[in-house]
Amino acid sequence: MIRRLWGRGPLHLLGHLLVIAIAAYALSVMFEERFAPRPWNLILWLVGGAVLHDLVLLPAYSVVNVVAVRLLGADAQRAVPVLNYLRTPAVIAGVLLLVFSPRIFDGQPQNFERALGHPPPDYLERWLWVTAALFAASALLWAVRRVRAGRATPDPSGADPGAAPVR
Amino acid sequence: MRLIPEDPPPGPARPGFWRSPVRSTWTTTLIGLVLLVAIVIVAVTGFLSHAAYQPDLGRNALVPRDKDLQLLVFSWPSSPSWLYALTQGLHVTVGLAMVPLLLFKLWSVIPRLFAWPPPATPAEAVGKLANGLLVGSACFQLGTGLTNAQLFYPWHFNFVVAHYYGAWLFVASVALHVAVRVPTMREARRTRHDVLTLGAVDDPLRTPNPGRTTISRRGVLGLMGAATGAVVVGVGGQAAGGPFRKLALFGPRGAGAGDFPVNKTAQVARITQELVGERWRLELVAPGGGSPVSLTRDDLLAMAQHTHDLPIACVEGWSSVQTWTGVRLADLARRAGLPDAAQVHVVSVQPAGAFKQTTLGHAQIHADQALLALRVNGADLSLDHGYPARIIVPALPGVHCTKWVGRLEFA
Repeated sequence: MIRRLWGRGPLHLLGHLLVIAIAAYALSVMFEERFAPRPWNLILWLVGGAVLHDLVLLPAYSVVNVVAVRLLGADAQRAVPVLNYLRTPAVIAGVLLLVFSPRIFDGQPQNFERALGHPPPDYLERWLWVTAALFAASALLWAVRRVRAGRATPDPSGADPGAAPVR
Repeated sequence: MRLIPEDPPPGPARPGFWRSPVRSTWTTTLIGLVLLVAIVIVAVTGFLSHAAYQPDLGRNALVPRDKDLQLLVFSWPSSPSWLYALTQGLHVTVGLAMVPLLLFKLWSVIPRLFAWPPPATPAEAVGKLANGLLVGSACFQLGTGLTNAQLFYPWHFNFVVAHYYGAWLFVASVALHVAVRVPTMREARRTRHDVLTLGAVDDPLRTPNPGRTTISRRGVLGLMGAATGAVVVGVGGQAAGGPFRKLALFGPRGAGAGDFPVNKTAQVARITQELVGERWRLELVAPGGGSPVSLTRDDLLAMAQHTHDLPIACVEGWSSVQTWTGVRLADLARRAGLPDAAQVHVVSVQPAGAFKQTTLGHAQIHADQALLALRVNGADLSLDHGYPARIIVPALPGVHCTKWVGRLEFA
């Protein structure tokens, strides 16, 4: 009966009902007027992160990746393709930028000064240096490996040249 | 007539749209298990932090006591002294490090967001909603947590209430998700061999239209590890301290903040020379303990002095061990005429601030190392660190180590 109406077993139904009950109670407290005088702001925060990720961030970095893979299509035939030596520092620097964006973009510096007693240091500058160092280290590693590979095997043949890039 | 066509519309719902050959149920299972370990650490330490604030005492509760789902409230211990520094350091550091783990997890399952055809049964439809709650609450918890830990408050709601009940949304939907996915995870492990050798097993995350392989599965997992490690190094030192603090380039109490930061300056608390100068007195009050005792700073310095190395550990995930000297809280309880005091209500002379008062329990008063500190590292307290006297109790959240103490009401 449950399986026919619900589509899955009774435990599946029970689990979902339990989570719905907990979520309903938690949301009812979060949305009490004394805690969230502007309910739309809380709604925005609850929904915004997932929407921004799924419809902006992921498509954006996927497009950048596709473009990079296309542009570097010829390079992929060579002994040590440069692609992943760009991807690695880019992903690390991108994650650092996202996680530490409040301080890198200097959000509400007055809060920082009130708490610590001095104005915040220039976190953007720090991030730029870290990013430069990551790309430099990666470039060095790539150059060393390509020179070595060039000496070892002058004519490498690897991946399928005509294949389309990967999303 | 069919309302929904059998074939998906052009775009991300088409089976061949997503082309990374690295995506598979096995990859997702592995990332998911790593993420699950992080979630367990962050959830347990988060609920422990709620208990560490001892919301059952005095006016400590930041989430009103009559609200439900406050299951983990107990008498917070006062040993080991590094307890809260550890749990809250983990909460913030692992919480921030979860961001790249979540990004990789969501990347690995993105084709499922557009899965075609749309849900056919109530179970599938509600399951989709539960996934929405899961991702929404994950982004909400990480987003509010990482901004708050970096002293940025771009919202118009009560952070503590929202982050606490947001945790229930997140934990409940994670538990359900794991329960629903256990068979899939088992299957992924079992079929991994077949997938690797035959390459053709029915796997909804495996693309039927793989593009050129530009990175191995191991490469993707390594990239996830490197990004996670970078976040840990970038902020972890503000909890680990010592030489690591200089490596924490992106933690507000990391590189450049010095070894002994504060969470609130005297200026912000509106402490004036008037309030803490010659006329400052420490009042000791106890019911039935006779008339209140009024002590000058010299009176306090004349009492037995004790010195201990104790951490100040902030809810924002940083901590710092210093050498504190002062009078034991137990001695002050005796002096007030209530040697067996079960609670003490601590009142600061600061006119402003949410934590100008706090209530400590039995374990805090009677811990050997629990002090009303007068000096730190061999010198008088500085004004920013709570001159003339501050509470320093092992394993207690930093904001409950009240600064500029003016009155102790034992009960």
